Amino acid sequence: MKYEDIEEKPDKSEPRRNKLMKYTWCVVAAWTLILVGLLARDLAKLGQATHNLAIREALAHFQKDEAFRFWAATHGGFYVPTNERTPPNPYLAHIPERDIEKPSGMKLTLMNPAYALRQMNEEFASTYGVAGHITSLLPLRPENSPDDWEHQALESFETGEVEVREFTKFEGKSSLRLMRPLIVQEGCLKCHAHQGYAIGDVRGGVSVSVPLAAYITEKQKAAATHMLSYALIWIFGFATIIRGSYIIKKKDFEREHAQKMLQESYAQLEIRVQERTDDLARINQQLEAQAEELRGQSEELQNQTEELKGQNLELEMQRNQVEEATRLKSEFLSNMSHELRTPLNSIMALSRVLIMQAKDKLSEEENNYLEIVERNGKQLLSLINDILDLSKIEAGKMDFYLQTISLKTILNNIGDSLQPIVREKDLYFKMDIADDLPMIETDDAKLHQVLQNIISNSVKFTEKGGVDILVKYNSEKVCLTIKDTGIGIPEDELPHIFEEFRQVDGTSSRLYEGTGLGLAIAKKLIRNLGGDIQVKSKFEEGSIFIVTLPIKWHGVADLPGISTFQALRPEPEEKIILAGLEKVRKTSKAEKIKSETRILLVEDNETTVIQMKVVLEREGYKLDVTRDGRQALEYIKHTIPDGIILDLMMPEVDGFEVLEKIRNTEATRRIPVLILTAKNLTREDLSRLSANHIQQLVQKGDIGKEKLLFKIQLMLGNEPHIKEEEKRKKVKDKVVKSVKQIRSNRTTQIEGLPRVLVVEDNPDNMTTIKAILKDDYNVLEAYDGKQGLNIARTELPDVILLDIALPKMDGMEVVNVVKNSEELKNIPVIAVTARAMKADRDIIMAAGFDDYISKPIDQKLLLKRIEKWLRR
Amino acid sequence: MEKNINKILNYLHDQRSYDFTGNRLSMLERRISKRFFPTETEDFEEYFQYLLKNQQELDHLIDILTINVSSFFRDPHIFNHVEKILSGIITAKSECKDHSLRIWSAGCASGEEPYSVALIVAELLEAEKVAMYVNIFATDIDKKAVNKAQKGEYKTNALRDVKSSILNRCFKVDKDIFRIDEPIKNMVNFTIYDLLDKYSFVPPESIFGNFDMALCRNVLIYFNPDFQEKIFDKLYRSLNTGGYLVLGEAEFPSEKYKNDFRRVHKSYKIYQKR
Repeated sequence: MKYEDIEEKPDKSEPRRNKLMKYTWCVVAAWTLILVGLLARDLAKLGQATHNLAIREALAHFQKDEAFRFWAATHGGFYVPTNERTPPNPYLAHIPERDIEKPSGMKLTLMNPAYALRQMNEEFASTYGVAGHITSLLPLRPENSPDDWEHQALESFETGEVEVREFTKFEGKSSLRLMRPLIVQEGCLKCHAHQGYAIGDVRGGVSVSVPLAAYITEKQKAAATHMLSYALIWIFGFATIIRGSYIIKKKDFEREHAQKMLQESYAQLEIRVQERTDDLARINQQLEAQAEELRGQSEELQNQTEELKGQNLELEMQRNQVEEATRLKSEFLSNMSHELRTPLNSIMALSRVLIMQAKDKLSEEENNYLEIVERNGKQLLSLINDILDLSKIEAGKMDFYLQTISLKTILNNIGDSLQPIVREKDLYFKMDIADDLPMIETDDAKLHQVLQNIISNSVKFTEKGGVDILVKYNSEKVCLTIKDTGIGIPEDELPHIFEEFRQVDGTSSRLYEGTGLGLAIAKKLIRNLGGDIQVKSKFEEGSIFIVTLPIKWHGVADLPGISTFQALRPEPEEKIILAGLEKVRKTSKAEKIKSETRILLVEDNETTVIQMKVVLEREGYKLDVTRDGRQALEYIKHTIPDGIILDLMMPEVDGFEVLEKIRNTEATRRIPVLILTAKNLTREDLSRLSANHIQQLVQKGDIGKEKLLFKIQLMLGNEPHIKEEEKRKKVKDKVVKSVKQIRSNRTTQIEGLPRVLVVEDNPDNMTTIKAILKDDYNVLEAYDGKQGLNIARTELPDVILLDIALPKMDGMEVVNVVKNSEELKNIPVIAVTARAMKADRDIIMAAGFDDYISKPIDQKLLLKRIEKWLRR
Repeated sequence: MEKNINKILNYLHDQRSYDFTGNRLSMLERRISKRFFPTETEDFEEYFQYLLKNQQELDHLIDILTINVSSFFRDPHIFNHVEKILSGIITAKSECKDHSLRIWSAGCASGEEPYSVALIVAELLEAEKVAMYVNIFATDIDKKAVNKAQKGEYKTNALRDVKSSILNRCFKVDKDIFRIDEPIKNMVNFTIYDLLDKYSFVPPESIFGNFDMALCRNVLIYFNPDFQEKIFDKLYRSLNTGGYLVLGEAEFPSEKYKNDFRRVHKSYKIYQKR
């Protein structure tokens, strides 16, 4: 069933209900008819019965009369006393012995039947209400002559009728009249023979009149009862019919309602099924799409997996190469270290000789130089030794000699050797060694080296407090805890503490000598001895080194992760450079402008209007908006804006037309216009625009915000400008500079020489550079980035030599600040760095340095470069 | 087969300017072949012939090629994180008196994603008691989907991940249709935009990019790497420095842009432009 069918439903039940009403009325009518019929029949029957009764009564009277007459006739009449009531019948005068006398003298007269009957009827009719009348067409007595009705009846007897009866009026009352003939019998002839009657003739008749009033009353009563009964029955029947009809109607209504409900729910069901189907279809579609998406994703993942597989293979190869390279490098380092030691030895030896022999001949400063040579030589030697160790371990060339040794002895020896320093620094040095500490199987010399390194580190980095050494053991291992109250290790450095060339702070190398390889070597050695080193530390509070060693040597412990390769990666410095570059990018943003420039935006797209409003008003522009070309033309009649931003596609008057109108009107022809459009411009469009002299053209969606603002500025004829404030600052700076210049010349500076600021944290390097420059330049010294920057600001040097890796603020940061500062940006900055790759050079130049000199410093080159930059 | 698919795509491009040539071949193959049964064709050649003769089939073809799934807050977890990020952006912006928030939903299908974002933003703005110009640009290549999105009417199955409080507050119910409220609707601007459009790198409706966030979920997977690269170029350029990019589960920044994005969540593909 369709949904619309339901709407038609209610109409159908209406005629049906009407029909039911009709039926109901028909049944009522039929019922009424039946009852009326029955009633009529009953009433008729009642009438009939009443009549019959009346007839019977009449007949009874008649028969009684007849019987009496017959009785009298058979007796030939009878005698009764003669009196006034009964005079002798004159019509019997012809009869002998009509009158007789009883012996008593009592006169008797003969009463013939008719006479007797008449008398009886005359006397008793009034008493009983039933009137009998004997009559004849030929009565002997004229009083007995018939009335009209009797006459007719008597005549009809002549024709053979035996009885005539009629309900009629008699003496003014409703009555039944009945008449039967009197047939001549023998007895009759006595009196009537003379009239010519023979036996069997109709002599006359006796009529009986029965008044009907009583019957009618009875009948009416009965009829009333009947009618009442019928009325009750009818009412009952009527009620039943109406009730039945009502029930049927109700049932019908219920049925219909139920049907309707059924239909409705069916329709609902239908709708729901439809919706369900739609939903399912949609869900199915979605599922398909999802499946599609998943397939896409899985394909993508598969591609990635394959790519990764490829990359893995590549990585594997690279790893192999790296391993090989590492091995070769270690070998190379090992060889090279050997080779390095030879010339170094002669340098050291000869500088020693010089110190001893030429001490008195040289100036104090020159002696100082020699000491630097010797000190650096020693440091280089220990570095070479360490590298040699490390490369030996890595190349697997380190030999181990296992012995059973006493750890206690080693520790005591180390403690003894450190005593002078401990005393000098006024530290405590405590050892708590378990008495029954067993002998351990290990390499005596290597273990000594490791422990010496760690313990002397602890002493070295501790200025206050002291060092605690605790030794415990169990069945398998010995555990040494070396605890100091030294400078500690910063949290972020802690994970790298065992990597090569790491020392907590670059600056610390000045304070605490060392190559930064000691702990790396220690870790590698102790692992080779089957043990491990761990460290806990809190910066500026102290460190705890925990060394574990097997009592019996079982082999080399795994060496996870750490390799020389990692340490040699140029990562740290590169990171610094990249960070510097980012800062350059961030700070060199275009400066904002603020002005009361009025711009007219002609644009019908609400989104564009809102966006432009937000952006331009934030920049301080005053923005007026018209929504179409016509409005725009109206606007420029009374207001001349500083610039117009014009959309091309607009309703009614489009942008081209507006532009043409503007250009053809004297007052507006010089207003700069920027076209902002989403239209893909055709050649014709472009020529039309250029013919009308537009300042800027911007394609929506093909520009960034900064660039858009820049173009708007250009359109308005503003060069991207410098703030007023900044201009003032420039002037101020110039004054400051001249004052500073005068002030700076006070110190040991030689007047007139150019001033070079050297920012270098390594004092030896500083000395070297100073030695090179001191004759030609005034040298300003700074030992970290911040200090350098401060000196640069106050002294405004002519050239800056800047190391890259500096404490507090690295060279990249410094150059960034310098180059972004109005007062400093013109000072040439030359990088001085140990990195020598070409890529490094590019990065450094990109960071803002003007030039670059690599370490070790070549005297000639340095002077040449400085000269070059000063000449400029 | 590839030749025939290309014929079909070129024809589609000529007729309706829909360009699917950048899509992944396997996806095209699967989807187009779904039209074989209804058109009683058996291979791509035959289907192409059918297509030439029956213009109305182009609509079906476009339908099946553009079909996409989405529901409100699809993958609710990722939206939790998006909410966190947006909250951060809004706080930072209101601190420096920048009252404009710009978001791009690239490949918005029938609008569920941008509306979800709009709902989040509305909640956040209300919670933080800040007023902002919110511009959410939602684009899709499928005109039908965009039209549907503009209506903002959804059935329950698209709304199963919407919190009931939001449902009560931001939707009007009419029988089984949920209509999103005007204020939310007005935050989102729907336009038809082809991510491979050559003339712009952001939807023209947005004039300039400078988006604080771009969402492009499960779009790239349908494209071959060359085109992925092109789309990525747009996404990269459309974002502010520090702006966020939300990708689908199996999507990554392309090789070229790998280092220009920092991943900010370990399980979701949310990146920040460096």
